[in-house]
Amino acid sequence: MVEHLDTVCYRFKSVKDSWTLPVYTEQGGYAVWKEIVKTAPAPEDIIEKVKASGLRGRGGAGFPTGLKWSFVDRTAAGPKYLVCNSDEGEPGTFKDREILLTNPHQLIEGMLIAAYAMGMNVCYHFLRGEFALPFQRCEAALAEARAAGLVGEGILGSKLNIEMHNILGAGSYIVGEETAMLEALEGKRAYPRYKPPFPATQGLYGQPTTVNNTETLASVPMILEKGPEWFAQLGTAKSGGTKMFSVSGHVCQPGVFEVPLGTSFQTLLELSGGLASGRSCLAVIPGGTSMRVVPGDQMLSAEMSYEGMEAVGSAIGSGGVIVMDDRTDLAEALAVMMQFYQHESCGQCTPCREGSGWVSTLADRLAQGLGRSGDVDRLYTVAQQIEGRTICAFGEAISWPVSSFIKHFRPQLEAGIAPANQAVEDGQ
Amino acid sequence: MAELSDQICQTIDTWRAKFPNSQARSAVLMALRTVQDADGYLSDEALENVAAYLNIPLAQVSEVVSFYSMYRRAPEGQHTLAVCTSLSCHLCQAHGLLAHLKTRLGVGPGETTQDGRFTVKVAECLAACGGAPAVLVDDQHYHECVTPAALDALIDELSESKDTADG
Amino acid sequence: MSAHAISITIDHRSIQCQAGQLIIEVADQAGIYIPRFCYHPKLTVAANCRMCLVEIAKSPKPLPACATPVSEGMCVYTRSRMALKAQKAVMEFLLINHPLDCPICDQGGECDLQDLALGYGMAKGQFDEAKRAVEDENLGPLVSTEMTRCIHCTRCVRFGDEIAGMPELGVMSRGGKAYIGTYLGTELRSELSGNVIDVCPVGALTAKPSRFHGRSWSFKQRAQVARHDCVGSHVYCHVQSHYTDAAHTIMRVLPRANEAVNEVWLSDRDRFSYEGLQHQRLTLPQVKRAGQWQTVSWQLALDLITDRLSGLVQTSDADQIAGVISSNATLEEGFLFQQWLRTLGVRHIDCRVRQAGDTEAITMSACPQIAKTLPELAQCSGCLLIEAFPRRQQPMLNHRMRQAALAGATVMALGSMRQDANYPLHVDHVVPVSTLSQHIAALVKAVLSLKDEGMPAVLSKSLASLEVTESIQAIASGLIGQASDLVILIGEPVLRHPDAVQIVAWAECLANLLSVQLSFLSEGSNTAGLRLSGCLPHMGPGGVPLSEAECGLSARASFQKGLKAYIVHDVMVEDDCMGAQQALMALKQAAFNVYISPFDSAHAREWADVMLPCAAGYETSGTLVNCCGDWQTTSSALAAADEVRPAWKIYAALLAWQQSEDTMQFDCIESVTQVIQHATQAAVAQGLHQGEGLVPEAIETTEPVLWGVAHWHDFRVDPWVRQAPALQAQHDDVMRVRCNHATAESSQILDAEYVQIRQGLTVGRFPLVLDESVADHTVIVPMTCAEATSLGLVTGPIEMEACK
Repeated sequence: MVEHLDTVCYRFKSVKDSWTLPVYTEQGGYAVWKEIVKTAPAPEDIIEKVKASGLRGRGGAGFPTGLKWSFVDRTAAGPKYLVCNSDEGEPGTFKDREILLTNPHQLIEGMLIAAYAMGMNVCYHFLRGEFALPFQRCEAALAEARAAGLVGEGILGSKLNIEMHNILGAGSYIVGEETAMLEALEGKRAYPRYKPPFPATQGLYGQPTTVNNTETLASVPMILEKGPEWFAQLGTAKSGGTKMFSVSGHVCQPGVFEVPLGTSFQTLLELSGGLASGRSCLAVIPGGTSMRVVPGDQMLSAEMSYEGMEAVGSAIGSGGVIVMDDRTDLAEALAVMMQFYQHESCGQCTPCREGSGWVSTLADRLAQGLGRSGDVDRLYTVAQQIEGRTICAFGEAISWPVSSFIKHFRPQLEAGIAPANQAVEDGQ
Repeated sequence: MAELSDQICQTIDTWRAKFPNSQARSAVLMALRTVQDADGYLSDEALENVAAYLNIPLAQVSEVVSFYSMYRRAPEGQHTLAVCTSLSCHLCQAHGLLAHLKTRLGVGPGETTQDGRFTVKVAECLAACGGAPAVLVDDQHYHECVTPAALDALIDELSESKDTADG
Repeated sequence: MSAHAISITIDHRSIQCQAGQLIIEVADQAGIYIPRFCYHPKLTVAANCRMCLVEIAKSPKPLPACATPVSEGMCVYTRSRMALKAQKAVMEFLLINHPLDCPICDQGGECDLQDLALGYGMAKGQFDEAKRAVEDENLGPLVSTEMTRCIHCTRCVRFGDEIAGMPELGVMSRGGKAYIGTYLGTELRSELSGNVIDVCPVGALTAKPSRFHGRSWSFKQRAQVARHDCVGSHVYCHVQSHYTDAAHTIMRVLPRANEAVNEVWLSDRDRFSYEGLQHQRLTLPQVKRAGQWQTVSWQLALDLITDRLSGLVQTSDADQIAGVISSNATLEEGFLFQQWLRTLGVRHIDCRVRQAGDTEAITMSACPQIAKTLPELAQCSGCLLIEAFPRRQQPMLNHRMRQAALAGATVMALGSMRQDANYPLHVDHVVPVSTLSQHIAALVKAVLSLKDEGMPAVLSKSLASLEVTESIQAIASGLIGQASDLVILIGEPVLRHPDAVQIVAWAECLANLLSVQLSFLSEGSNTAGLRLSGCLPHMGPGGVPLSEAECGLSARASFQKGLKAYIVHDVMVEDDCMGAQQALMALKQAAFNVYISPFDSAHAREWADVMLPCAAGYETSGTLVNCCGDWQTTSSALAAADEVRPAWKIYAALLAWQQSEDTMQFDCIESVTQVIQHATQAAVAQGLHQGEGLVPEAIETTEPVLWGVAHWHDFRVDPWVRQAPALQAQHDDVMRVRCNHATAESSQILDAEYVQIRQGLTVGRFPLVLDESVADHTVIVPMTCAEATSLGLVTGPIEMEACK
């Protein structure tokens, strides 16, 4: 079996009523927070520990968390905000939902610690609009925590005030981009902001803000409880700690597996029950559909870490691992993905607003076998024209799948050119 | 112009209280959801009422309501069945579910059954890929590993519910 | 944000700039053009069009020049391979859903998309799919929409939010389906809505009145000044120069950039009034003989006028003649008007046709100007508006108020109507119009007690019995502690108020207590200038006070008296006077009347004996003095048609006729301007513009009385605007009497659709609308309709009852 499986955020996967306060505290939860409140350690020290743990943003960007926390000027005037990003929407990703359902208190504890470290007094926990049950659990957990004096004014009888609120979204993928989430909290359309300025200096309502992913924040209590070295050494030199991988697609037992970074893809595949009998691995998207696709054979020898994924030309991203076996119609798969991006583009900037529709039209045509001569090249060019020119990474989210599909699976896409148009293709 | 009920106003106020005093606009997403939960959808009047209650320009309310996909501007069926069509669910035959719904209910995505009981929709990734194919019922309840048979059972169960379609 | 000097390079050129500036700002200042759509120097940065992407050394991606601040040693390349590729890519994306409308699009020839596509785009695109289309909505009679052309730069959205202070347009829906509109299908109501036409870089938002009327390249551009308020926004008239029947017509009016006055904006009224110059024009000199109007030559008309008036002076008295002139007349028109009449011996000369009482004392006390420049106004720390409603009446001044308020200024208002401001007000105190002077006096009392310096004996008796309400106290607190950049602004409706002198006297007292100078908004576009022309019964050219022997009657007084001859310049007596009935009666019983105007009038045809057609608005060269005291001189934008003559020439000719001169003393307009200039300079040098100040009378708290207020809606404010069809279409529901619920209840007219208003012997019947923004005991009566003429209201006590 895999060592250190489900030991950080997903550690209560099989514990009954793990989302309730009694069970959480019984398991040792809130000990770290209570200690912090009691001893009031230097916030800088906490940040140093998070840095040392090697924790990187688990939502998809992979930015070193401790470094991100250090960008906030604790002495800046006015309120400062912590935002927890639970707008899990990256196709193939479903691990934050598991945290919200099975371990909301650990998330709350992580948020409190983060707020303390950065001098923040208000936390907003933004959940996607469809997460009705997770929201209920988080509200119940928050109420319990508040009643126990762990959240709110005068925490545990101290002078510490940290307020926390759960907010629901209303249906949008792009609201998961950190600055788009700030816009949504301000009651506006979820338009990503251009950066600089960064949220650390000008965030929610123009105040210093840090936005972190669910899993990132939920990892913090364990990092402090067991020590940053413990966490770091679970992973590799460049990828400290564990990651919750969401494995789905053509595997027999899809699910969430929290494994040490550096675990081989083979192991992850085994954990998820492997492929159906007689099937071979055609392609894998390792980090949610926004990341580049990897040919199956390359993936089978890859390591699930930040550097391991870079080595096969992709990225860890959100850790949404989508496995496609040899029965997959890749042109259809690409078209389905592009339809998602067309639907979810916020429409703010020119390349994405106009390009997402164009790309989707081309991909659809190929998927239906009605492709025109040159459509694959056109698809590539258009995607390249979007990349690097947008306000946010959504541009890359469109172009990386397209360019990687074409790079690795051009023949399958070209098969989508209509027979009548094929002759010209062949002649080239 | 019928105004917002006291109960709705109170609910909106609890959401408004979560944001700084000067930021009434922050409450608009939840205010719209609150009115929609009560009325089933958001009429033109509802938008005007929310704008007036929060004292923000109507254009700003309209921008929000037209951006986020969970807001409904017209009444839908008593129950909505949203089938996820993103990649993982697609790989696990989500289109088969849609085809089945077409056969069973006679409607496709975006359409409502004649008796007003069911609206079929497509959804983007619901973050339930481990239970693909997934169906979101009434914007709240996750149904995972859904098969045509499971759909039939669900439809039967929802059809027996006490509320009548034209009640 | 530090503002220290740094050095960067753009395209290998070393440039000095300041840290924190945006690359695009630095490039613009250095004359290096970076293509852009969404960037606008007066709006916040959006960085969404991506057209301004430039290469910056050490950055793997191109960065937007409009959103990237410069830093020491930065190397920017605007024409590198990376930059050019980005520009071409973005341009291709902009064009894929853009309709090929150029042949039918008004923007063609002045379109940023055309220009940048040519300069920065690819020669051939590869988009071969169906384009998306957007349904148009009706934004009203001023702004035309073809939203399929929209490139979503969001300038119009940001304009509404940031400048107009009234978001009406928003981005709706999402992604490729996103479109800009009002969503629920409403018309634009902001008084600045037309500016979205300017900011829109493509033909999505265009001017509706001039739609399809002409191509910009066949227009000639002429600098002018707008004439509908005392701000005098700078404009360009675009005149059709050739080819068509519309030659020598103003096709449209655009703002002319001027940071000191209107920045780059224009009110809708100034933008769309030009159409009014084409309607109902007087075109030929006419004389009434035996009840019939006959066209005559100019020679004959001027002879007749000279003979009749000279005759009247001989047989009767020059005091039987009065000259009444519009407050929109230019400096030169006004000077020559009074020069001609005073040469005749006429003493009753006045431009103040909308005043209810005599306000000579006010004019003697202070110049009708604001104590700050407009840019200074935008930086004031506090402002008190007294019966001033600049949002609709002086929109470009209100723009500065908004800038001040957004920067944290304490803006307060005291008046007979709520402000409807597009910025936050600290206090908006509404009081019955009959009690306005009391409340100003109460404010003085409150300020005195807050200053705690003891009350001067001369005032204590006056203020002793005055009540100070909570709101007055709040205003007083808001005024105390302001620096010397506090502004106290008297609205032009104050000068129409019967108690004008007392109101201003107490306001002066207040201003003195706070060590500031009073600021005045004035009627029309040139009240300040006409004072310098000498178009007042008590002042001569240069604004020199006349001796008692030389002073004459005000316009109202001369109508009240009933004289034998009236000379009326560009005043529609039926619409533009206070007490119109009385004025019309006086005119009808007079022996000889001359009407000089650009516009024909059925009423004038009844009372006039001679009608002389003069040039209107932009057809005239001349000088207007605005509320800041700036002399704004422009040349005619286009010649008037046929026999129409510039008014200044008419009066120069009449003066020459009167003096029996063979040649005109003033043969060019500059000579006229110079004379006024010298007279003004001399008067200023002698300190003749410094008034002695008014002494307020004793005052006590009295019960309010039901008063009617003569109100000129901003789109009904002068004859010219009233003829502009597009503007009138937008406000077709303004001819209603307004009062609040309490007033309606006490007058027992709550359920009435129509009300009859009576004042003395005159009566008028009006449709009613309840309006909670109006103070108690106050009824707003709309002027410039037949009902208003028959009532002939003078702001003051009325009776009101329901009728059918």
